Amino acid sequence: MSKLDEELTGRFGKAERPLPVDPELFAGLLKKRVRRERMKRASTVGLVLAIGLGGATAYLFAERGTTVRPASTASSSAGATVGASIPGVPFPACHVTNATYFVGSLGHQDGFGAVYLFARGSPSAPCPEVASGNAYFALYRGGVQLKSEPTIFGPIDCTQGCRIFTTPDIDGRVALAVVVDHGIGADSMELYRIHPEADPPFTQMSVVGQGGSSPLIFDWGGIGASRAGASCVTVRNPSNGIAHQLDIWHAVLRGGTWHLVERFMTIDGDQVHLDHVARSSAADGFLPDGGGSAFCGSIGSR
Amino acid sequence: MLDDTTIREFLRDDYPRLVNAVALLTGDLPSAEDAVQEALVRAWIRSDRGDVIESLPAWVAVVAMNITRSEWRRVMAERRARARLASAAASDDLRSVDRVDVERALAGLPRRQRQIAVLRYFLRMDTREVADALGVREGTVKNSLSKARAALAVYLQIDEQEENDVEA
Repeated sequence: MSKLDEELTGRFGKAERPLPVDPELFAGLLKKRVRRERMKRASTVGLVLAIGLGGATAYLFAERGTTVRPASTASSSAGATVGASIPGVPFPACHVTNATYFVGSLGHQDGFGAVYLFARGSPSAPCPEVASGNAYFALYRGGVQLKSEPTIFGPIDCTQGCRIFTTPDIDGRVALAVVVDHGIGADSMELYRIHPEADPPFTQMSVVGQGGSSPLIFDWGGIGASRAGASCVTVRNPSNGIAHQLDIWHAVLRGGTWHLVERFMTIDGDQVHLDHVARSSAADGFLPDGGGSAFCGSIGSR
Repeated sequence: MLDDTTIREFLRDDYPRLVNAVALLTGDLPSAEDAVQEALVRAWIRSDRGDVIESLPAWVAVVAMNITRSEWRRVMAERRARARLASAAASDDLRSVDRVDVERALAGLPRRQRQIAVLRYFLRMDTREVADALGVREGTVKNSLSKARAALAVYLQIDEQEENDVEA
């Protein structure tokens, strides 16, 4: 350790102040933990309801125009030990979660689709957990029946564990599920629909080429020289003090520097609006939070 | 898995120091206390689910520092802590000159440099441990630390001569 490091360590050490620990602190934390687990369960129920609601809507629209039946809209094989088979996916899929999505005009079959999230399994090995290196998306277009060939993306950055918040990134016009933070954890999950005509940031996060395989950059990571994220930030609101904004960002690595674009979206009732766009450069490791396990204050699962 | 004994030991041995570390980063003791408690609860829950947390103090430190980024949380924490600390207000004059100097010096740094400096110099983690805790490359930590230490040396009026290398 250099002299300066020693000096700084010494100076920082002198900055410590005595802090008596409340003897009741352990009991307080224990209560907090119990409350948090209850809240987590409630939040999970909210997620299932939200996805189920989207699926039910898709089902109704599909029923109106054609005889096509949507597939199951929200399911999970979390306890799977053997990979499942998903049409068009050339390997076993483990811990599958799926959701339907809707984009475009109502009543058109093209407006419906399904997205699957799963871990890539092996025919000869137990199912792995969904994690970086083996997490994949399969995106089906043109209806909720899995007739079309899926576009498969992956592996995606899933270090902190992955969850589907409906499908916030596809074509930029879908309902966005947001976990709202009330200060000590996940309070509720709500769906927001993005205005198609408002400078759509979500298309920036997920460029889905027609039949192509451009990386799907979801709301918790990125691939190679592209990263993206979505996180809640709390800002001062002149009228009522505190407000939440969504920080939807993406960054591209050029010349050793991350070029960062952040779109700050104001949450206003059931709508979100673009507040402002900020562009900056950032060194590696200095990018904003990317959602994932701490998305809007929720307690994620690995 | 984190059992009750481990948590109690953590509260006894590590908690005060971690609260101090987060307070150095934020300049605010009540919100630091709240953030460390929140981080510890998260660690506890994760452990219950079977996650392995290799270094509880490092994990809690980084998560608590991230938690303090939420202005809302800070405001709520301050509100809750106001009554709690009312009686202790008189002890605020215990703020040492050293601490004020360090807090002011840290306040002049970008947040990530502040975070790395606190982990390195207050919690005495080496650069590898800091990198692991933050989930970044060690080179990134060294780069930030180099800038931070240069700035801190100026703020704290420490002679930086003979200093070249940044290492654990």
